[in-house]
Amino acid sequence: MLGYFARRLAVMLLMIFLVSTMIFFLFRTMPGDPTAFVVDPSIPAEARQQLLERYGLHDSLWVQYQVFMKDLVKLDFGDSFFYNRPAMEIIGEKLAATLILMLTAMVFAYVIGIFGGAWMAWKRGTPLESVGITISLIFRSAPTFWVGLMVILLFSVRLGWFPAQGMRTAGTGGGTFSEVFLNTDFLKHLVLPALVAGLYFVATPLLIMRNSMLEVMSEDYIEMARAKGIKERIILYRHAARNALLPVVTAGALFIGSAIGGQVLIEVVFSWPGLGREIVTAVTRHDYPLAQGCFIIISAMVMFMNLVADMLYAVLDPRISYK
Amino acid sequence: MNLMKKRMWISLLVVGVLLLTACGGGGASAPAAPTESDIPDEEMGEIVPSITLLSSLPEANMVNYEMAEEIAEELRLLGVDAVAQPMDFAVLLDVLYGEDSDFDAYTIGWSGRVERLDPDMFIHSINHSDNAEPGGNNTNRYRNPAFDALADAQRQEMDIDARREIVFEAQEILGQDVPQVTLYSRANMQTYNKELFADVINIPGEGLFNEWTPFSIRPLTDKTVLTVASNVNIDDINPLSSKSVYGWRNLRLIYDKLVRLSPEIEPVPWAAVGWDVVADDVIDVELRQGMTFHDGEPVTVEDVKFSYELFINENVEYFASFLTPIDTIEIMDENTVRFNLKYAYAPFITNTLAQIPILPMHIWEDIENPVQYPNMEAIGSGPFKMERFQTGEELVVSRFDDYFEQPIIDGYIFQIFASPEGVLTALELGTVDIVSYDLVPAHTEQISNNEGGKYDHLELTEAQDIGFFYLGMNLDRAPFNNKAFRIAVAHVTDYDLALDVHLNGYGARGGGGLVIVEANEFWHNPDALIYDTYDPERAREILAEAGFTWDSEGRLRMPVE
Amino acid sequence: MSTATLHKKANSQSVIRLFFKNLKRDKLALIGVVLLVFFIGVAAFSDIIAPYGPRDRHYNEDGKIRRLEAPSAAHPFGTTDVGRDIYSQVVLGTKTALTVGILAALLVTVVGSVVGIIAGYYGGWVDTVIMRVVDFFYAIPFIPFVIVLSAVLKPSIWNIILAVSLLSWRTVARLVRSQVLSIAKRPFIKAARVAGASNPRIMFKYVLPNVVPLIMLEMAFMVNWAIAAEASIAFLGFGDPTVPSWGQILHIVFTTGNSRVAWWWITAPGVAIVLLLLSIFFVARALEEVVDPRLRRR
Repeated sequence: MLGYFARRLAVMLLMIFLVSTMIFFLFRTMPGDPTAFVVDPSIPAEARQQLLERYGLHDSLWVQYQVFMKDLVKLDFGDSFFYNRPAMEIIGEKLAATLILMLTAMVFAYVIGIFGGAWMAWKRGTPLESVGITISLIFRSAPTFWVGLMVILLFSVRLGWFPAQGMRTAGTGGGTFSEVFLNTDFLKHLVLPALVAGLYFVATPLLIMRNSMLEVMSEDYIEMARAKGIKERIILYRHAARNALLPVVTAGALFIGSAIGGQVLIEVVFSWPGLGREIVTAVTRHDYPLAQGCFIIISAMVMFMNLVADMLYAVLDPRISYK
Repeated sequence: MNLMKKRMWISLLVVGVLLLTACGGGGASAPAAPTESDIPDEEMGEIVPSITLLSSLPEANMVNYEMAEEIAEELRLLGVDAVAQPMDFAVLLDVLYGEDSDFDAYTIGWSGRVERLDPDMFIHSINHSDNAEPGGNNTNRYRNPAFDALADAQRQEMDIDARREIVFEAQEILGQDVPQVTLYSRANMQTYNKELFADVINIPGEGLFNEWTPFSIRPLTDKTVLTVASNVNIDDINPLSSKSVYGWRNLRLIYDKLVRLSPEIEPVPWAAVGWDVVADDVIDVELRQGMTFHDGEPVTVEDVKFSYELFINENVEYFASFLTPIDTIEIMDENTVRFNLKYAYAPFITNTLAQIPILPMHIWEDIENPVQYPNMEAIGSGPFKMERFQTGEELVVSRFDDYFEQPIIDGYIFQIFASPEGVLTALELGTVDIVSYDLVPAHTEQISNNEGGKYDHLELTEAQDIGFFYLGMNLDRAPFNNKAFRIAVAHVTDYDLALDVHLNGYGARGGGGLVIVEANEFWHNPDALIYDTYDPERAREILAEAGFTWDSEGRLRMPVE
Repeated sequence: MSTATLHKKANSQSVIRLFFKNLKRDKLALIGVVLLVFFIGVAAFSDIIAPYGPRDRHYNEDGKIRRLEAPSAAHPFGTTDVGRDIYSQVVLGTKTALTVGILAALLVTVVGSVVGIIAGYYGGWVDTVIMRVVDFFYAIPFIPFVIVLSAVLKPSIWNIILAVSLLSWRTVARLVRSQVLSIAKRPFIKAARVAGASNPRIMFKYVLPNVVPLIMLEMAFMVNWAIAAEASIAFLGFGDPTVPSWGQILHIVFTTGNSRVAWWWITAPGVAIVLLLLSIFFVARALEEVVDPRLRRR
C-alpha cells in the first residue's frame, strides 16, 4: 500500500512536469501582445519593448522555459504581469475562497444526494421517484451561470435575502483567515453561490446512490431483513444505505477534483474572488505567470484528488488490494 | 429486414441529415446591386482588393463589433468583397502595432484620458508621418507633409491662441483627407446616491470619480465613508509599476502631484505654489511649504527631484512619453526645483507636472528593485492615506488629517466587481454610493426609466467623452490609398445607427477625419467636419466621379491608372 | 459500473429493441425521445423555420427600432436591445448546439472507444502507456484549458468542438477499457483466438459488439457535456461571435446589461438548453437501464 502510494506520487510529479511544459508552450503560442493589457497602446514603441524585456519575454523560448522550470521546482511561478506580485501569493489568496465554496457545495449536494438517492431507490417506480430524478436532472441540465442569474434576480434583487456579489461586504476588512472566513457576513455571501453549485452537483451523488441502492437491495440479506419484519426505514438506512455508500464516496473524491477547475462560471456570475475567475482574467490579460500558476495548481489538485479517490476505494473496499 | 434494422437505418438517416445541415449553410451571400456600365470588363481597372475589417470581440466593445459588421455589409453592397473579423483585443493590437503591418481596416478607439484634452496626442501622435512606421501610433499610415508641418508647429507654440489656430488648420486638413472615419464617441453616463451624498464634480473623460469629487463630495447622513463601485480591477499600488487607469485614479489621491488639472482642465499649482517658465525649455517650480508625508516626514525639494529621476531612471513605461523631454533636474534653493528640457515641449505643465507623483525619498532610496516593490503600505503625501488593499476586492483609504486641503468625507472604499451587472444590483440595494466607470447603455436606460421607483435615490450624470471610436484604414494599401474611396467609406458609415441604436443615444456622432471631438470645446474646430452623413447613393457618385467602375458582375473596380 | 452480468449476446440490435420496449413503460424516456426528435427536427430545418436572419434589425411602423419588446405575435420570443428577433436566434442556435454536441460526441466516442479497446485488449505495456496518457488528460482542468485553447486557435465553433473532444475522450477510454478487460477474459474470445482469428478481427468482431451499449450510453452523456461546454465557453465570451448559439445569446444579454429587464431574452435560450439536455438525459437513462440489467424493473 505504501509502495503503491509512493509510486503514484512519483507518477503525479511526472504528470505535473508534463502539464507545466504543455501549458508553458501553449501560452507562448497564444497570439496577441502581453503588454496590450497592462499598458495603454499610446505608449512609445520603445517603452513596449522595455516592458517585454522586464517580463523576460525577449529571451529565447528555451531560456524562458529553463527559468520557468527552475522556479517551478521552488514552487515559484514568477511575478504576475498585472499585479506585479508573486503569482503564488495571489493564487494562495484565491484558492481558499474557491475551496470553501466548492466544499460547501459538495457537502450540500452529498447530504441531499445520499439521503435523496436512498429514498428514491426505496420509492422505485412511484411518481415521486420520477419527480425527484427530473428535478435533479433539470439542475444538472441548466447552465450554472443561468441558474445563478435567476437566483440573484429572485433572492437578492426581488427578496433581498442574500447579497449577490463577492465574498463579504465592502470595507469589512481584515486579512487573516478567521477575519475573512469565520463570520456571518461571509456565510451570508456564501449561501447563493454554494446553493447554485450544490444544486448542479446533486444529480451525481443522487443517481449513483440510487443505482447503488437498487443493487444492494436485491441482495439476499436485505430480503432476509424484510422477511424478519424489520421496519422499512431501518432496513433502508441501517442496512442498505451503508453498503451502497462506497461508489458514492469514491465518485465524490473524483468529483471534487473536477469541481475545482470546473465552476469558473459560478465565480464569474457571483463575483466570487476565486481561482476560476482569476484564471479567466489572467488568460484574457495574457498574464502568463499567473495563468500558468493557476493552471498548474488546479491540475495538481485534480491529480491529488484522483489519488485520494483510489486510496479511499482501497480502504473502503476490502476486496481491492494494491500490491 | 426486420423491424429493428429498419429503425437503425432511420436513426442513421436522421443523424446523417443532421450532419449535412450542420456542415452546410453559413456561407453568407454577398448581394451586390450591379450598376450598368458600357465599358467591357477587361478595359476596367483592377478589381478592388478584398477587405478584412478587424474589430474587437463583442464583449470588449459591442458597438465597434457591430459597426464593423455594418460597414462590411455596406461595402459588400457597393460591390467590394469585404468581411468583418472580430478578434481578441490583445491580438488586434498585436496586428496593428506589429512589424508586419498586415491589415486592411479595423475598428478601435482612443479613450478620453484627461491629458488627451491637450491636442498633441490626437494631432501629432496618431497622424504625424514620423509615427507611421510599425509600432507607431499612426496606424492609418497617414502621410501628408503639409499636415506634418502643422503638427510640429503646434507642439512648439507656447502661445495658446496661436497654437489653437494651428490645431484648427490641422483639423481642416484631416477633414478633407479622411485618414480615418470616426464612428461615435460615448457619453460618460454615471450615477451616485443623492440621498447620501451631495456636491459631486463631473469631468468629461473622467466622470464622477475624478481628482476633485473626493475633495468636494459631502455626506448628507452619518455615513461619512464613500463606497465607490468599479467593474475594473486595480493592478497594484506601486506608482512605478501600476499601469491601469483605475490604479492611477486612486494613486493620485494617495500620492500628491506638483500640479493638478482643475475641473475645467486648467493646470493649478497644487503641491507647488507656482511655476515660472524661465525659457521655452527651462521651467522653475516652487514647492509648497509645510507639507508632510503620511508617516510624518516633511516633503522636500529633494523628494521631488528624487521622484522625477526615479521615474526616468527606472524607465517607467506608463509615463515614458511625458518624461522624455526632461534633460536634467536641479535644486535651486530649498523650495525651488528647475527642469531643464531637451527642447520646448508645450504640454510639459499640463501633462508632465500634472502626472508624476511625489514619492518619499527616505523610503524609496533604500529599495533595491523599486519597480518590483509591492508597496502594500503605500506612504504618500496626498489627501488620503492607505488603509488596506485586497487584490481583486477592495482598496480602502482614509482622510489624511495633516493635508493642506481637507476633504469632507472620512475616507472611501474602492470596491471591485466582476461585472457591471453586480454593480447595478449593489446600486439598487444601496450598498455602493457612486460608480467610477461609464454605465452600459442598458443600465443607464434602466436607471433613467426608474421602474417602480427602485432607483429613486440615484442621480444620473452625463459628460461628453473626449475620446472617440473609429474605423481605421491602412493607407498604404489599395483601395484605402485612394482618397475618393475613403470619402465614399465615410458616406456608407451610418453614424446615426451607431449613436441611436447601439448607444441608445448616449454619446455623440462621428464623421470622416474627426479627431478632436466637440466635447473638447477649446480645441475642436466646428468647421473642419465635412463628411458626416450616411448617404450610400452619394458614395456611389463619389466613386464614379473618381473613375471607379462596376463590372458586369457588379464588382467594384479601381480607376484605370 | 460492473459488467459481469452483461449478456454475451448483448449487442446493438438487442439494445435498441430493449430500449424501444422500455419506452412504452418509462414515461420519462418517452418524453425524452419526443423532445429530442423535436429538437433534431428544428435543427435540421432551422434555416426554414427561422423567420429572420440572426442579425436583422426590426423596426416598427413609425420607423423606430423594436428595442427590447416583450414576446408578441410578430416576435414570439421578443426582441433584443437592437431589435433582433430572439426566436430566430434560438432556432438557429439549436443547430449549433446539436452540431457541437453530436460532432464532439462522435469524435470523443470514436477516439475513446478505439483507445479503450486497444488498451483493454492488449493489456501489458500498451495498456500502461495508454492509461498514463489518459491520466495526463484527466489532470487538465476542463474549462480553463478550453479557454486557453480557443485563445490560441481562433474563436470558432470547430475549435470549440476540437477543444472539448481533446479533453473528453479520456472518460470514454477509461470506461471502455475496464469493460473490455472483463470481456477479454471470456471463453468465446479465447475460442476465437484458438481458432486463429487475428487481433483486429477479434477486437472488431467480438469485443466491439459487447461494448457498443456502453459506448452509446457514454455518447449520450458526451452530447450533453459538449453542449453544456459550448454554452459555458460562449457565455464567458470565448465563443464564436459569428455563429448564433444559446450561450452566445445569454452572453450578449449579460454583457449588454439587460438580464434583469428582458426576462424573455434570458428565458428562451436558457429553457432551450435545459430541455435539450434533459431530453438527452432521459434517453440516456433509458439506455442505462438496458445496459445495466440490475437497474431494470423487477
